Amino acid sequence: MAETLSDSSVINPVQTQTLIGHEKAERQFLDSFNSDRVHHAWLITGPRGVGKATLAWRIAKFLLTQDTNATADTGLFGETLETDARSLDTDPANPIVQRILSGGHGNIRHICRTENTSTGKLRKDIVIDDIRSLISFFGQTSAESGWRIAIIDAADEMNVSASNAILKLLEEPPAKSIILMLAHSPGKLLPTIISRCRRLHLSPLSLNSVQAVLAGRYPTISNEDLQLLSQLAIGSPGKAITIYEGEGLELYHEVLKLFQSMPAYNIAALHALAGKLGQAKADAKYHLFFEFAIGFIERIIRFNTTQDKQFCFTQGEESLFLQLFANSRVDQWMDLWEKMIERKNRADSVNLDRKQVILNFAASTAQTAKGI
Amino acid sequence: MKVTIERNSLLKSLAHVQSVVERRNTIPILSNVMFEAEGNEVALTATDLDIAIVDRTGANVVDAGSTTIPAHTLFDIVRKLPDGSEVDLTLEDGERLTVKAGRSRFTLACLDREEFPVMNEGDLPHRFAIAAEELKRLIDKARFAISTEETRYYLNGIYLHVADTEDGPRLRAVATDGHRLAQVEQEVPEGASGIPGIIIPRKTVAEVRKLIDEFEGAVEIALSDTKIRFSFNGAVITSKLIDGTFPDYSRVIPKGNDKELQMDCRLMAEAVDRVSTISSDKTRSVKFSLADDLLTLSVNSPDSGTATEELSAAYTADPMDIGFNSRYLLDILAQVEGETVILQLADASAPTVLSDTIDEAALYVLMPMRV
Repeated sequence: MAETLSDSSVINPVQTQTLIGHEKAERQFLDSFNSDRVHHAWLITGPRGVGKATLAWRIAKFLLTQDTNATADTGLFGETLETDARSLDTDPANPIVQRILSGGHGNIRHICRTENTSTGKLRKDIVIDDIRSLISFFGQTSAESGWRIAIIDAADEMNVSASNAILKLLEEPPAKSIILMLAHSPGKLLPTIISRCRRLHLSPLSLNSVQAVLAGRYPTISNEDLQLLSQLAIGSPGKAITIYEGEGLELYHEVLKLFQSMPAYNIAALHALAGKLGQAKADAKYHLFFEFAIGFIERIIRFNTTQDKQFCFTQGEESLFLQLFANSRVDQWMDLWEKMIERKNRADSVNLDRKQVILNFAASTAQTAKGI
Repeated sequence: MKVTIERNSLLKSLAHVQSVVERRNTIPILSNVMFEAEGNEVALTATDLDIAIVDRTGANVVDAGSTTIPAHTLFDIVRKLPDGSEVDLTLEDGERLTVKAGRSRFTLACLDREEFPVMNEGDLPHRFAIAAEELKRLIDKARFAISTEETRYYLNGIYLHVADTEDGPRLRAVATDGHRLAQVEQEVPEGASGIPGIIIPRKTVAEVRKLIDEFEGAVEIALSDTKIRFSFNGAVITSKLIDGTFPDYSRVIPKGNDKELQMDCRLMAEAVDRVSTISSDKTRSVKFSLADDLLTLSVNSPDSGTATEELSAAYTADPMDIGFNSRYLLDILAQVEGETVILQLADASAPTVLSDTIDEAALYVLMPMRV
């Protein structure tokens, strides 16, 4: 399984102040809040790195900084006047926000994968004990007045028993409590969980929005890199950041070089690359390599069938696409694409030697390029 | 901030608060203790987000101020300092605290006190004082029955409420885990008559119990339906409560148990302990066979063998057999103060009521086991 973005130290959704490109989702939440009938469970879905956790923390900060002590405005006949919050923005200097940032706010619980104490490794799932801590959290009165909030990051990482344990909470939550569940692949969730939640879908961002996030974060980045990063990230600023911080751009150029050398690739150079990516510590890079490579094959196919230049990310890719396609047919490339995805998944699930997987990939690609 | 404190009083204060700080903490601020110096005393605060303990101790405050420092590290340092030394605490630039005693010198990383959790107690409309001995009795006689099962979270504490009884209103503490129940009551202290029924979480009960031994005099309790505060002479515990409804326990206390067994409590406990050595299963069941003034305890384990012991007891009703979990029974017998324990039984499948000849305001219910 690929690393989740929130595990990487480069992105910290708790600290992130702004959220770009999800105004519609924020509006939906605010409308529900303003109508004074906030649903108790929200399922925030969308691709990795798109801003789900950032949105969840923004909601949490917003709810906890609402002045709960102020008596609600009442109209002439005692009816509650509609409250009108327009934005989820909070003041970072607010002591409540500071406590949330440091993890010292008693009304919020953040559930994510925990360390297995016997092995010292991060678990692959959210286990039942993690969820049980939520049951006792919601089973006690709140530490500070106001909302009690749980953020489950990510809900599709819960194992079967954990998923079942949370059902009861989702069905009968105590008053003034809210559960925010993030899911990269909501299809993995139990239907009984999905049906109890209100869905908030975050779509991939436009190129411009991704570039705006990146430009804000890295003021010195070159225009060329910015362009390439936003295209590689497929609408997910979080992914763009991990690519950039994890030397992903250099890796992309290596992938490009490999395709340029096709079909007669340099075996020694490939062995060096595959050996480097096959190491255990290069886990993230290995997955990124395949993402780039499989994406590249996809673009070869799409460019040659549509002749659309939007599929060319860097200069020279157009001629490279044409050159690779010269001796082969579309169906051969599609075969390769399908086979590569399947092989990579199988290799991951049974832990095959990663170096071999890359060597095999290059050999198959070379054959396809030759039209065999 | 610049403070000088006598090592022993600092150690005592830290010992009071540090137990609430969990050893393994993923959130740095929660492993810290908040240190506030003002006037001529320092206040130490520690919290795990469920309970907050504040302890005050006299100190020579040169410069008032506050910060937070790792609780266990500071505790270990102070513990290892020689008895009677003076500890100097100086906050350098807001990020480092220097601890000096004699010729030892430590610098500790601090975190901003703004980040430290706040236990917002809100209004605590009900206030009353209770003698430390009385609170100790309520806790000790009830806490062993607190459930540890998380699904029925509302049983994970002591239910404190005012109950209407034949003798008028009484302050009552009840705990149960579904297999046994303990009910202890006493007179209603002044000011407590209108309190809502509250469930005090297990960890709070344990922390309060520890502090009762440390301080003398009455304990002041202030509570609302969401928070409780125990004020000792110098230390204050504020805790969240369990947000749930305690079940109607009075229905499980049988009223019409007509068979009565009386016997020496210590002898029964020792005998039960002896015969249960044989039982290998998790439940550790012991069978009670009752006949005229004779109690036969027996354990039959297919793996390890059998054990029987005969005891003389005061029993005149019809002969009967009943099984109990020996561990649960021993827990209850350990709370009986009098020499004689009274068991009121109905039949082999009905709950048994146990009571004490000295402390009649304490009552225990034990569910039987099939043997």
